[in-house]
Amino acid sequence: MEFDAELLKEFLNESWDNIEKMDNDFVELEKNSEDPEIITRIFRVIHTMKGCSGLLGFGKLEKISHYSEDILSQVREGSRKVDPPTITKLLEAADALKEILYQVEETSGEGDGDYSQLIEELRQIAASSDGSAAKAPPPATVQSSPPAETKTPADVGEANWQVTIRIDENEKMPTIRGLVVVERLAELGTVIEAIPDVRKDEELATNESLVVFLKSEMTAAEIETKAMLSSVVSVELEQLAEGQADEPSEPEESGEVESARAEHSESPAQSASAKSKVLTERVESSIRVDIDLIDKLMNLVGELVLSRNQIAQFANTFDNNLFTSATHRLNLVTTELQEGIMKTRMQPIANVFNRYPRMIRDLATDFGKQVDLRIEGKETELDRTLIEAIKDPMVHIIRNSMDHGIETPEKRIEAGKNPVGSMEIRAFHEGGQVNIVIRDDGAGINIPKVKALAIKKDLISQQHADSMSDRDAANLVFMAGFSTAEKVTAVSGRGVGMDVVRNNIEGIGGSIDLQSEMGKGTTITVKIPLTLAIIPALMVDNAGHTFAIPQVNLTELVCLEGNEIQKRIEMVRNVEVFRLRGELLPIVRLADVLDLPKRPNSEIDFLYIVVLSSGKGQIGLVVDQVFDTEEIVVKPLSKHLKHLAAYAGASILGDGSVALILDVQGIVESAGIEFDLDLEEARNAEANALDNLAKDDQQDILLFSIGSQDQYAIPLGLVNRLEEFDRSKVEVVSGREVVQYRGDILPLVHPEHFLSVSEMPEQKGLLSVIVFSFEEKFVGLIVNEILDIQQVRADFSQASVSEGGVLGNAIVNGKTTEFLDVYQLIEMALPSLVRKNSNTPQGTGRRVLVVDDSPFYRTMIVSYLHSAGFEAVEAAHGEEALQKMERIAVDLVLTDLEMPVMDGFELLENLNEQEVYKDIPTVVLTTVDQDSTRERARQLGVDSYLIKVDREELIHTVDRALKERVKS
Amino acid sequence: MMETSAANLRSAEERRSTDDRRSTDGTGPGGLERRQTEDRRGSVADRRSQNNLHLATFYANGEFFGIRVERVQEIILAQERTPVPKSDRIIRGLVNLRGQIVTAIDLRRVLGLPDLDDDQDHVNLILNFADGVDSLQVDEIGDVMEVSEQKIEPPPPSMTGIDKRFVEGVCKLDGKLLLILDVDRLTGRVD
Repeated sequence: MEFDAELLKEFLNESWDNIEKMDNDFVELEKNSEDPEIITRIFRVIHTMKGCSGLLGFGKLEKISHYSEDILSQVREGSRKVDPPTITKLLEAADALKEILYQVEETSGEGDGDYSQLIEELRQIAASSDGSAAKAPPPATVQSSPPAETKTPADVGEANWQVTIRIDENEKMPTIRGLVVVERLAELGTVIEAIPDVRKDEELATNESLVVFLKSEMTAAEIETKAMLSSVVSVELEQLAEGQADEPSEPEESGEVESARAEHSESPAQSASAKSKVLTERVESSIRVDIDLIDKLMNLVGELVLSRNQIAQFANTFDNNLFTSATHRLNLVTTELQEGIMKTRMQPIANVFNRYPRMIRDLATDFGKQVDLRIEGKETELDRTLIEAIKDPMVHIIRNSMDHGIETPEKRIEAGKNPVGSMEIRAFHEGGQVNIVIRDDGAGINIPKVKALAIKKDLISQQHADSMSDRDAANLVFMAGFSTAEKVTAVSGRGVGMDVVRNNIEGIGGSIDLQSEMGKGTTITVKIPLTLAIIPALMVDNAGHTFAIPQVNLTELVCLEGNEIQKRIEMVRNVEVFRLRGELLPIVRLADVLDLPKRPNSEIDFLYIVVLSSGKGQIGLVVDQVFDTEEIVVKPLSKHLKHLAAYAGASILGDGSVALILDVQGIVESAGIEFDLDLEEARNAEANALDNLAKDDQQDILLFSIGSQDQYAIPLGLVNRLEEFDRSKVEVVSGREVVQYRGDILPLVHPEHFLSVSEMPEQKGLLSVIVFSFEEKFVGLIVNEILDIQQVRADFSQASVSEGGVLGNAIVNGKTTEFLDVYQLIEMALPSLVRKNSNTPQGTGRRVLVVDDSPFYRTMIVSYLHSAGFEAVEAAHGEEALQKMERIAVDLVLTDLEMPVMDGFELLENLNEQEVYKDIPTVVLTTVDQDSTRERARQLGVDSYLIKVDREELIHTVDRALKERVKS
Repeated sequence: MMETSAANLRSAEERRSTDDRRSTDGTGPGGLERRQTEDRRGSVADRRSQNNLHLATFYANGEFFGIRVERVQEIILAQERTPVPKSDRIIRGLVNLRGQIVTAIDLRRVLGLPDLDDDQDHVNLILNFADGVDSLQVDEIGDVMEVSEQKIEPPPPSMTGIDKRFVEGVCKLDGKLLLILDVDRLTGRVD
């Protein structure tokens, strides 16, 4: 049997704890057999052990605890008296449990001990209805046979040794070799116990250690020499403390009797007592803490955070250095305390993940499928309650994937795939959330079939289905009342659909997204918050009310000014929409949702749109004012308010006032937004026009200044957040400037140190920082001033090679503007951050041909690839690409679709036609998100189809495409 | 935050606790038998105070009301309330009670009485329930009174202006009528 080590450890820890307590309880029970509490306590321990051992497949443990439980249950119900024979038998059972647990701890197996007699006796007692143990054979308590191998009775000079012997794995007869060792050790003193007991013909498996408990007056060296035979790889000696092996647990026992018992292992319960003595003195390195206590501490820390916020606010109005510094200390200590407490609740996700290899193998066997499972990020930690909460949804997702996703080997071969399917489960932290990605290379979701089924089940209309994008259609599986299984199987069809999975995930403030490509596989991304108790939230105001919006739902903020409001908010069939980078975003006014007084657009100078995403779609929530983000403690609402879907709870703010926390999902629902029909229709009608726009190399860029004059830009897509920090908050850690940011350390980079710019002017006030996420870490770039966000059509010219950290420049607003290569800058400033991170694949010199007509995109992509260790070759169109490929061997082609001279499709066709290029993996990187183009790319055998340029996604995709080709 | 009638309450508290120690399971007349709490079980009987109720009294719209004192945790002055848009009319908002978020219920609105002219002058009774606390907003606070259960009668059918569902009994005092309110009904815990 094979178990996961972590799970086993947990089981053993728990069992030892319980058993140790139970021993005491048994003693109590003998004294006071009427106390129902003691019986209940023992009953509970045995019951737990029965459950766990059954789960882990430990048959002997399960049987023994099962019948013991029966007996105890009768005692508890009062149908059986607690008489000495019963207790003796139960004690024997407890000893047997200990002995087996010991075996489990040592060998991960139950060992070869034969407990059938004990089990039978227990069964008989349990079955005897007269409530006495009289019918059971007399318990084998007294062993009178003389010790066979005892040389000398215990005397003062003797010590107890635990000798662990490892025998060469090439040894053909390890059991015989072990026996010889034991016999030799017996010459030195008394062998109390050998595990496995080779003298009793128990097998010593290859790679298994032989453990001998020896009582001897010899020195360690002498024992070691004696045991060191040929084929013995190592001998480990551990002297056991006085009394560990020779002080009997029951006072009437003597050392002599004990050694005698060791010879009678057919009475396992008793030989176990020798071992249990060793075990009871195990040193504890961890303690168990009641989860209620931790919850209480967590609540108190929450209160402390609130008080801290209040004091901090007060300190700002109070000009006293002593007070300020005391506040600062309070701040630090509170933050650390908060983190510390949170950590106590944190568990590695391995606790859930570790079950999967076994589960997936079992499922694979059931379905007759073959799967190669890859798990990454097991060490990712999150809150215990969340770990519990994702268990079931995860199992469901995996089962679904195994059932409907991965095909049978025959089908896979037919489809030209590796007969062994692959499944990848990856967990990682990102922006204060935990992401879990479950990816399989199975059949993917049959979009037309999903649509047809959804129509049949009246979930969507035919018209809607026609206009639906593939991605949206794939996500239909999350709709209530939907199940894609053609036939309901025992595994995934148990009346629980993916809608329940989504509800569960969203119930804990998470989100789930599904991407699928028919024939290629499915990727499910689950995002969940790190903890539920304290969350970052954006504070907004509407009609004088302050509300908190959980950060987890927040995508971005848009502010429209003056006449832009009229221009950019359009009406599509009575629904207000806003065009956000080509996507139509339904506008919801918080005032409407909450029946608050509304101001007409004409009276508004600035229109704040908070772009929110929920499982059901994206909305733009219009609020009057946007404030800062704050860490807030979530408090539930009383029963009077629970029915209001718009609120997720309430929180107390720094000034002591109460703010309501908005429930984004609830708002989407209560606003009655239908993410179909109208909008979809409109979206499609606009699609062509938008494609044309996209082709024009339009870029959203962030303009800012470094130094006094210079204007710099970066693509907005790279920016994670814009922040302002108090200069006093900047700390210097090992020569590097950092600030505390969202419970983490944010390293700050001074771009002027790496660029040739005029000196930064002496700055006062707040520090402007652009926050990037770089390989799952945040990095802040200090700038002089944030200037603007603009959509530009940059006439971009590439930088000369010499300028590190700069991609190139363009004229924006009549000014020469340098485009920064953020990743290169970060690499220059924080080389350790780059090298330390092993999560991102390393290109290790593989060569990628980047084909794109926009020099800007091309340069950016090349810089991404370089930063991950890939080599890159550039080409402006298909023809140039083909020319380059004649001269330079490349490992992968990454191409745009819309290009002059020869477009992407033509290039792909060309590559397919030529024998030499046919096996080179291809990735399409485009702004065109249309089903027709996707389909065409798919027919051309494209490995991946990417829409937006995100560094991590790009690198992972390229890496995956390369790896898969190598595998197949 | 100032606590009014703290002395009153404290003395009521003391009296109540001595009462608790002496009183039996209160099996009084007319629907008032719901007084047994855990600590009262098995205590020794004392005939003399057995049928006395301790009531925290207060005013709203000129009417005189009482609530069993053991349901009142404390009394606080008007607090800054955070209104909850879209909530029921009777809910005036959320109040921060030393870090605990408490829902403020307006007694006048529950009983269908007109709103208080100057809302700032109200007083809050913090009521204790098994599932948390609520704040009941009243006009003005009165004394803690000891009333003999014999003097409590069911609400007269002629009573108007106030929803009888919320009145568990009336007690005639010198010149005025004390209406004893059922807090479980008031706060929607019992229909």
